[in-house]
Amino acid sequence: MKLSRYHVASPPVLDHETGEMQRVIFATRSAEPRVVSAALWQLIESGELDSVPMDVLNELVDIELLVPDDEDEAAVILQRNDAAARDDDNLYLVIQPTAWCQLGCGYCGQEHFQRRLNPDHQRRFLERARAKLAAKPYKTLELIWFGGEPLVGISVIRAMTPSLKALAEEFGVIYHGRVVTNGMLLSDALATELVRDLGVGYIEVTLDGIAPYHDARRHTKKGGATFDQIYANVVSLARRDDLHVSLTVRCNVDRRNYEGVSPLLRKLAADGVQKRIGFYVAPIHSWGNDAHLESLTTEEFAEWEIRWFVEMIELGFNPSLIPKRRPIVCFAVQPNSELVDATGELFNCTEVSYVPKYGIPNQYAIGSLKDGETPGKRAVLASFNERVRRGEYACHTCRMLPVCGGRCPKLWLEGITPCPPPKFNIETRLLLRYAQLRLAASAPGASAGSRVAAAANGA
Amino acid sequence: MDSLFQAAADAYRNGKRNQRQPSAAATGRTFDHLLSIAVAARLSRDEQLLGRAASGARSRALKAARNGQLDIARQALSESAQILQSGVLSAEARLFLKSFHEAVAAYLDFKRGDPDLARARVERALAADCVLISQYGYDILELHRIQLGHNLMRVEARFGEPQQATAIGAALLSYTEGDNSSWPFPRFGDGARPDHLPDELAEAMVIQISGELAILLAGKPAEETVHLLSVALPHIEGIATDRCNDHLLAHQWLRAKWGFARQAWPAFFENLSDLLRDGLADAPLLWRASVADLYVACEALDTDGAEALRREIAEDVRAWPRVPEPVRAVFARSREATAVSI
Repeated sequence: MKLSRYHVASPPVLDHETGEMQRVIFATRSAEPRVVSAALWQLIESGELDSVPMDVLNELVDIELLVPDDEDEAAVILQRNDAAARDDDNLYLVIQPTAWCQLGCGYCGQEHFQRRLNPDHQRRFLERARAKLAAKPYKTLELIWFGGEPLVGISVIRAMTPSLKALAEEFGVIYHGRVVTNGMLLSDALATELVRDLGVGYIEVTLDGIAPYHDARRHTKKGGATFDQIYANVVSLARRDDLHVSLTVRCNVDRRNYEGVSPLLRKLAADGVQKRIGFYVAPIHSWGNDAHLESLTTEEFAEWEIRWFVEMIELGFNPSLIPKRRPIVCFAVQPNSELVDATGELFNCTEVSYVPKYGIPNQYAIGSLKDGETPGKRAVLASFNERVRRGEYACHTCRMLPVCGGRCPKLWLEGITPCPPPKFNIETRLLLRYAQLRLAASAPGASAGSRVAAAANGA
Repeated sequence: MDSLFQAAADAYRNGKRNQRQPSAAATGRTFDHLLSIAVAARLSRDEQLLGRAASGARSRALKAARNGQLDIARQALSESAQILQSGVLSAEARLFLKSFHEAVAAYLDFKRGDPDLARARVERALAADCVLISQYGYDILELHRIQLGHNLMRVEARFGEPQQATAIGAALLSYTEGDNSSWPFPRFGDGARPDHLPDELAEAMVIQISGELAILLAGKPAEETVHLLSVALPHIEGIATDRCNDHLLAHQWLRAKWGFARQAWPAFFENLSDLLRDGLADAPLLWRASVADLYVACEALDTDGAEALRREIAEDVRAWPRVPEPVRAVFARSREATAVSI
């Protein structure tokens, strides 16, 4: 057996209670972290497995930190990813009910216009969904309402949801609706309707920091401020006990607003919703434009992200520190998933519709509702794993591939390296998680937040 | 008759309130533990670790196959096959891994609807077990051999050979109870020592085989059930082996089912009461299959008490998790479709 190349080892850290130097080891093949003594890790790393107790070796085999000597690990991971994409029992469909958005965000690559998915296109899309459900025994139908701003197209959501839910019921699958929204129209009444009547169980809203930061970039098309309205909607929804919905706040960050994250975290905590929402920060990337030129470098972002994590823990948020296994990079590689835009064009990516740079017809369109799929077009992005297999992208040799999946097939294709922050801060994430768990187990009365911060900084 | 029915109804109500959890997982751990002791005594550390990696791949394959994700299952199984081809394995270790690999591969073929390939693979696994038991001393694999026989029974049941399946099932019951001569696959009988099985594992296996019979017979017309189950008559009468009385639950179920099929209601209700009283923890499938028969009997009884119990069962069944379709289908049938009379 050999040590898997797909692993991360934290720097050694002194456990004050045991007096031992420890390392947190993360087997990315299984996304399983383990704490081992630094001495034991030295034996494992140097291949002196005969000196390692059998029960420890068994555990390491179980989490795939130790793998057969002659295994081609990259090939195995990619084969698993391929199989997962083919066998996914969740039918993932995205609808852009409208091509319009009230906002004029500077980094958005979309060009908005007044168009809604018309009744004929709605009918054709439902026919396609029916054919997909009939072709394979799915367990869930996941329907994402995406924009433009999807809530501007609420009439389309209202018109299509009963048919989509009926389809799910007809085929015995569970219906999950999700909305990715700017939050402007997310009033109490509409949130209630979305959750109770329109099958939405997950809502994601973007806030790019507190008002001065947010309003400077996520303003209306005429330049009007939007923060107060969106924030009020978010807090109001987060406080509701009568609606069963997951609410996540996404904060898009580049050089111009990264300092707005911490004040936003503090404001959300001051309003008491930190335990009721998910929160994550996402680096601005190219959306068929030059938005990435204002981005923090990934290394810079990774460093800031750790500070935000510490602050989130201190404030009572529950950040996701340890990446999960990601066999399906995105819906581009799922053979039956698709996005339909408001004009009836079909895509297998959320980042390409309405983007002028991609031309007319859109170079990434895989077909249309009227004419069906164009042979060969889906494969432009769907062949991502094959390209990785051929060594065209750095993912082929990256230890994070199992938990990253390759991040973004489109950006790789465009020559932009989309490696995510965990690639650059995973060691600190591991230590932070370790500290978090150790502190949780320690005596009551301690100031957990400050001790977490100290532990993380010490790491 | 009324008092026997009432006793069965009381037993059902008592049994459903019993919250003891099923013990099958504990039995699995016992087998795994005994197997790991045997492996540790015979294989090198490297082989044990490779075996563990292969076991992990097979577990993923099984989980995916059960979930209907056959591509993921195939991929996981190919990883197990890759280990099987490793040059560092001894002949013994390779044979050991092959037995378990072929068993999982057979399940995939079974799920894909290919009975011939499934049978062939199970037979390869059986052949490997024979050598491992008779030449290398893996006594614990006797349980695996019986499990493989049970798998063949499932293949026959699923692919339209109920008579063959019940014959295998009855023979396996006798064999598991220690009767060497009953082993239904003579080509793969080398080193047979079923009497060496730990009692706990033998009991679990008898219940498992009976459970398979219960699925096979669920909802079948009375006449066909009598015809199929007659092969197990020595067990029903408790004279098949010296140990029939050791495996009370399975034999209570057999007698209850026989009574149900022959419309011998006193025997049905009497055995049913004994089976249902303590709840489903020790034999969930037999318990639920018996409740299905009780439900049908209620329909036929057509008394107020029977109707009340029938409604109660119908309500309870809604909360049952993961019940095999043939058993669940019994509850879905209309009253008119029931061809039982009392």
